[in-house]
Amino acid sequence: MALSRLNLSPVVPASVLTLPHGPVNLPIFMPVATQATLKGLTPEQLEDTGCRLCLNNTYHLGLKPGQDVLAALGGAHRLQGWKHNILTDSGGFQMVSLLKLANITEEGVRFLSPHDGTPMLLTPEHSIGLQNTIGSDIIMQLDDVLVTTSPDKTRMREAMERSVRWLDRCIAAHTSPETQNLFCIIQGGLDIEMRRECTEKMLKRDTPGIAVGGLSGGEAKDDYCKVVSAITPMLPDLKPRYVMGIGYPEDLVVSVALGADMFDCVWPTRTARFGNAITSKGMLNLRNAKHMHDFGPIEEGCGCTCCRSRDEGGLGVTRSFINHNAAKETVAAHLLSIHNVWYQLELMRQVRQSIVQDRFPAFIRQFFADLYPTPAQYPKWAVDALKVVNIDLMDD
Amino acid sequence: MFFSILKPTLSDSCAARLGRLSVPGRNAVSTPNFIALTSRGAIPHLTPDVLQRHVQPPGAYLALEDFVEKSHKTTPPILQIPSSSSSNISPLHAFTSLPSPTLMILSPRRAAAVKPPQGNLKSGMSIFTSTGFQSLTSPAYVSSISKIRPDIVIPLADLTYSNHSPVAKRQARMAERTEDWLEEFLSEFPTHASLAKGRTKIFAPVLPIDHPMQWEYLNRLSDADGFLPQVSGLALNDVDILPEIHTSYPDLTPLPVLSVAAAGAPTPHHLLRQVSLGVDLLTVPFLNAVSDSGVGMTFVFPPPSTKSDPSAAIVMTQSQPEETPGKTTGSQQDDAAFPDPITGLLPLGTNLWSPTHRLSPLPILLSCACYTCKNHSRAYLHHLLNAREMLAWVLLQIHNHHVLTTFFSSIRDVLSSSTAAAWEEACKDFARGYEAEFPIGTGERPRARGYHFKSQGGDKPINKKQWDYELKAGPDGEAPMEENTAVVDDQRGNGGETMLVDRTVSETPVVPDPNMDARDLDERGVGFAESMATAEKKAGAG
Repeated sequence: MALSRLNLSPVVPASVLTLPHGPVNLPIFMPVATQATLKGLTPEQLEDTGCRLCLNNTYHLGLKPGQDVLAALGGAHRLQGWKHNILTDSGGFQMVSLLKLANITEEGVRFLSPHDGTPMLLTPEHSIGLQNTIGSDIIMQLDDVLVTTSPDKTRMREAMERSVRWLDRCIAAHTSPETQNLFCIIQGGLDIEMRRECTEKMLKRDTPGIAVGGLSGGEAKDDYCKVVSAITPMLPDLKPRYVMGIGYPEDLVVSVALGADMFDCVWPTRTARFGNAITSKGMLNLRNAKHMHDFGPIEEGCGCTCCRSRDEGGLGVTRSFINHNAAKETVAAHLLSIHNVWYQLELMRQVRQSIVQDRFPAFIRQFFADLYPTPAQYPKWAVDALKVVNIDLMDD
Repeated sequence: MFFSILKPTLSDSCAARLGRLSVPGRNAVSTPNFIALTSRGAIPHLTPDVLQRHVQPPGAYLALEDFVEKSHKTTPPILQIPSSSSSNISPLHAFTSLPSPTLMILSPRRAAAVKPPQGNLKSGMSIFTSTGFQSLTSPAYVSSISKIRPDIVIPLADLTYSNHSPVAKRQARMAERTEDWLEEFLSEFPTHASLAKGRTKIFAPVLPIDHPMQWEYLNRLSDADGFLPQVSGLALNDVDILPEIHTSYPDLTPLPVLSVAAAGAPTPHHLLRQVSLGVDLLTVPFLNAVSDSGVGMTFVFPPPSTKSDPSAAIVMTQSQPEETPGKTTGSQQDDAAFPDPITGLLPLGTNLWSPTHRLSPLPILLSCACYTCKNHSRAYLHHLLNAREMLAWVLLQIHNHHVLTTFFSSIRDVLSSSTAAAWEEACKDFARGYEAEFPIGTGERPRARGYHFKSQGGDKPINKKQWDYELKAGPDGEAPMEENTAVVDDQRGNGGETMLVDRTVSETPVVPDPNMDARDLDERGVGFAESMATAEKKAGAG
């Protein structure tokens, strides 16, 4: 893996990350193909959106199809027919967020099998073993995840320190560091000092990339921004900085401004299944009756396969047709997923271009001007966070 | 020429024929061929870009009732869509985004439609909209057609949509009404400027009743001073009458014949019979249902003969991986290619829910060149079904449509190069070589969607309720799957009054639920989208 920076800005990075299955441009948004499929889209359709790096969830793939199938087929790329890069998480987050009875000890995460209720244990070694079998291009360490809003400082410190110890076990267990890049995950909740301490410890391990974990769990956006802006200045220039679980458009652009450059979220595809389209003017619920006779594209000027007209080689899908079939035919969800994933990737392409052309502050001002009718409606957390990095949203 | 017969009836006993249907702006359709059935303007699970690239359906069958909503309050959007700058893009193409080369056939109702509780009125046909039944008269239908401009339209017919044959008195009324409605339809048709140019062709309905009960109607159809000059084809609701039509009404013989019989063709054996009877365009009611059941089709025509041509079987064996991983053995993996050891019959499809496919790197059908088979293994399809991921049904639809495309192109090859005797022999070989029915898909169908079957008293819901599911399930709606549980018991297709089609065809119910809209679906957790509660619980689980 190699990263080359395209700009010299001390904060906002634009770079090319070369991975085993081809180069990807940072900053990047990664759609989440949880169970080795992006909700109803063929790998070819995902490729059409410009996606070259998507996520699979280790926890889900470990359950279905199971490690033996992944091993027999030669990994997740072969399983899903995806020629490009894959990032897998460690499975720890799902254990804790989805399983009520998960119990974390120094050894690993204990939980009851969702198949038959038998007690199971996920250790850092298991997680890395599974990710080695999956063969993903970027793999994540198993970490001790705690909701950032947890008031228990002692437990938070324990989780942070354990995550560091588990990173050492992950590095030791990793059998293919030449083809799979292991990222550490910085923990420490909303405690800035603890986050800095964790960052220092993690950086000593010199992993190919660095992730910030435990966020997007319901904390205030101000607190989120403080954590990210405390960590990013400590990170080396030539390593990717991945903030896990971030996906709303305004969160993405602000996080880039704060110095992060990799993001993932299930939201674009999930919201598509509820009939919602992401546009530069905000969310559009196409199930609303007002779109019944709306024969325009999902978003005027959008370059996705759905929105481009037939003359432009697209499908010329109308809002009216989505309204006709939303929640009635899966085709409507597939079309909206194509649009939403395209929107997210296109947003990051534009962000990147503006960084390279040294006009990122102007871009971000235009982005907020499109999204909100008046500056008075701009979210305060975004205005404040951007001020810290010398971008004044109110500046004309 | 709209329809040309390239090779007429092979013999007196076999009416199979080769033809070509040409409509300006559409791909010419070589016949015999099949027409894809749509639901609410979409071929289920297939987005138009996938259709363009990997399916290329020669024709699509659409129902006006799928587009009429709240019509008492507002005009349906399909009647308001602005005209495209390109004359090849009909409003129907524009609204549905279906590929412009695809021929559009519009019918008042779906091929398998819900029986109207009050029957049809004297003035018109009862159609089932998302807000309940309403009556459609011929003038109103023609007015809609003038705005939608399909390539082919099927006028109203007084169909009962019952699986019992109506009493003689009712049959006589069916014929009378259909004749009256067609007369009204044909006189109304030329009054609309957009239809006067003759781009929209009319396929007159033929009723699913015996010839003696509708001979007067058929007489008028075939009469040069009657309906014949305006009629370009026939739409058969029951194919058995076709030999009598050919014998008794030679003037109707040059017309292309479309079969729309919902119950008429539950397997490819029935399709071959329809072709032998002289049907040119066939709707395939089992296609979407077989995909939904998790079955990938594996039949080819003519059938591979292991006696005369053992190479086919040998190729299958050789392409086995040297060492089959896990417990799966080679013979289990090849269930699609090899005959049943007891009956000696080849299966029509393979049930991808079956755990035998868990580790199989093979495509569904080794000889298949479809997108699914070129790119994806049975193991992946099994995984997708097991995980109830929507891509499973997308890939199955691509494959199964391809199998049928190949099936019909092989039928045409055999017809063009052989005699009646050789054709009949090939059909017999197919009947002798393949099992009579599709294997049963042993898993759940895709989550029920809005158009699905309205349960009448006593029917159980199609799929498990989401909340029941989650009580028993682990996280993320991951229910413990018992892989061998057949969820294909008789709880829905139990042959009640409203079932028009046999069990195989109706496994995925094909009719809308009048009392449910999209919000209900979400609230009640039966839409294909996750329930809101689940989504919120998982929010941020990236």
